[in-house]
Amino acid sequence: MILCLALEEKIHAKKSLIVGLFSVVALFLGAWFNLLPFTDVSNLVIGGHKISLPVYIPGVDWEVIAIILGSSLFVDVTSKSGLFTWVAVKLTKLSSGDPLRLLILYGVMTVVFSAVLNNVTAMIIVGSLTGVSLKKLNQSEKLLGFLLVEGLLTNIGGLLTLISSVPNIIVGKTAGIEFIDFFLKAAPYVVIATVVTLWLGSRLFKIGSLKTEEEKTSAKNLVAGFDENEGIESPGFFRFGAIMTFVFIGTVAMTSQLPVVNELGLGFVALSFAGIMLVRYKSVADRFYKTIDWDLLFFFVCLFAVINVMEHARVLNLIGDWLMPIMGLGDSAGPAALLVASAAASSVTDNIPLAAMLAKILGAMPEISSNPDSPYWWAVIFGSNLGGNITPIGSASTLVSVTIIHKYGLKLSFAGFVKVALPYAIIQLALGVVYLLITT
Amino acid sequence: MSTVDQFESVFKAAAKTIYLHESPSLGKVLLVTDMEESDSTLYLNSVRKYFEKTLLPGETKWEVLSKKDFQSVKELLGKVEEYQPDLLLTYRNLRSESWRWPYSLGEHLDVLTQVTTTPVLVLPHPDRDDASELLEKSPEKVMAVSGHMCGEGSLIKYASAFTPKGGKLLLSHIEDKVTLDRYLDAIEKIPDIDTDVAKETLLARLLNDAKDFAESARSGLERAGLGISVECMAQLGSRLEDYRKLIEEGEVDLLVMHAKEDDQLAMHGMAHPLAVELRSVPILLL
Repeated sequence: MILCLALEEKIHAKKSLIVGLFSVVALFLGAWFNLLPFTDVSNLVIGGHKISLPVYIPGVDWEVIAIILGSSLFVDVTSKSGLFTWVAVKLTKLSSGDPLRLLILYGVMTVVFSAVLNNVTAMIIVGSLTGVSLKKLNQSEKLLGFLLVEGLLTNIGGLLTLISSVPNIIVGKTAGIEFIDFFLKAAPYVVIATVVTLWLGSRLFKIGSLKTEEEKTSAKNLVAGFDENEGIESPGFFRFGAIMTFVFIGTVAMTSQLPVVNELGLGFVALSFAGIMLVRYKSVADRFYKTIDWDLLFFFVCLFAVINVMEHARVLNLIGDWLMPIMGLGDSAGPAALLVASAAASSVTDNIPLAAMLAKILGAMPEISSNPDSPYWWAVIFGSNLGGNITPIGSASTLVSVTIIHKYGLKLSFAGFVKVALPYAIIQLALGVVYLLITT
Repeated sequence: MSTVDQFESVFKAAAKTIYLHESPSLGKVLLVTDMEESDSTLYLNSVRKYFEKTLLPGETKWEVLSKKDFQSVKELLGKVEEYQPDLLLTYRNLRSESWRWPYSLGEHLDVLTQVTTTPVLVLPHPDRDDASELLEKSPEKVMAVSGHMCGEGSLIKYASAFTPKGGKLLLSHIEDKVTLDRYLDAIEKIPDIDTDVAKETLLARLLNDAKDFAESARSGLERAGLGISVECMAQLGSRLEDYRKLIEEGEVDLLVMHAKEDDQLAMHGMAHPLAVELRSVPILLL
């Protein structure tokens, strides 16, 4: 299954279908060999009511599904308010059209959007703006450098909060890491890695400041033409979208402290906010349902079903045994080795199954599962996110960046991407290892 | 809104072209006539009077070519090359009787407007019955005409230069109905494009781009302190009919439009019929 996911582009099949077919086979074999707990799930008693569920339902982490569904719907509806495009255009104007300043501002915007929204949406917004603004500024020859650096920064930004990327959600939830703790732990690394990536990007792609006064005046006049209000359909909804985004982030950050809400969880928060935003489009809400990434959601459901079968078949225990030599390296070398191994694995396949599998394995180890601060959790989080920067198929957002690169007629092969991105990935991983060793 | 294309559309719409004003140089004007020398001088005086508010006497150097100065188009082009004027002033159908019929500008003007980079201001023919009447009152209402107003900086620059202080500059963009209908007909036959959305948004988008640029020009001209009032007009219609109607209603004293098109040697597709048929109004061809 992992091999097929790695070859997803080659076999021209959606990941939901790949994992779906494997889940069918896994469930069939699980039932055939009497590995699945049919009796337990058909005799569940919840609140005094006997509930019968199909055996593949309890294995799915519905909280994760609810978070992804709710937050993607929330982001999709909020983007209609013009908020994100407003911010993006404002920053473009703030740069005065200077390429270096533009790279820094777009880089920071990529990191923040990746953290607050998700890394794919961040790449779509910043990438599409980059194409338009560099063309307007007659700086199209710098497009490859910009898009590549932005693609790499999405995975850095994806490390910032508990809900910034799916591996964070899965591992963070299994480990029991709070939103604030996650942010405080990841933020210093994200800042350092962003600065280093931008510095390296400006050097390697020769993105510098404008030299003459004439160039500066011309660039300033060109960006002055950008109208940040163009995407705003209604000022009222724009303000509402801005307020709701802040409230959403605040509520997510405070979920564990809020009475009642802490019991309902992050998934409830995400779905509730999506519902509130949808009221504005109540008569056409179905349009937004159509834009939901159903491939991703079905992929998760089927993936959890497969992993559940693997757990009952004790395959995860076996993989856990293989990880023992890494664990045996000690509290410093062990997490460092796991970080590098996770990065290597997630560079060639989807980081989500890897994170889900490793989270299950680590969760089954009492000394790690009882400690949310264990460096092993962070090794998986850092490794699965940063591994996406080694190859173009390592993460969905780098794939989006390559898609935009190709859309603009620029040539960048798989090997070409690896060649250009490898120095960044090595530095980011080295920084990650050092950071992990210092902070744990 | 979740795809690259959708966000790209929003950003492309946000990346507006703005108008940056600078006054064109009009210090050297060459009046080309096919009259005898004495008549040319008289005609020059009436033309100078006609443009006294915009081509100011102390700031403009006038030269005149009369019948004897050129015998052919080639000789005329040679004279233009020799004088290097900032503006050519003449009338339609030079050295020809065909000014009486609205079918051409005449061979001299056809070549002159395409070969030289100098703007050519075409006046009504002096042999018209109402010729002296037409040059009696200086132009107050100037209209910049374009089928693609967005980005037409030079058009507005020249149009504003010919609008006197206190005068009115009308920035006009008429989207051709026949062309738009043809595109919408084609869209109706393409299953991948939502016809209703296309109908609702295509015209609005076309007119908005023109309005946005005209609005930017209005603020730019206001900042430049020219003391002229600027009005923007963007609508769907038939160009020739609509402009003719505006001229008949006395709304326009001078038309300004582009005569050259990058990909063809002949006159600009929209400019040619207007320049040929609207014979009672002066037209500045860029």
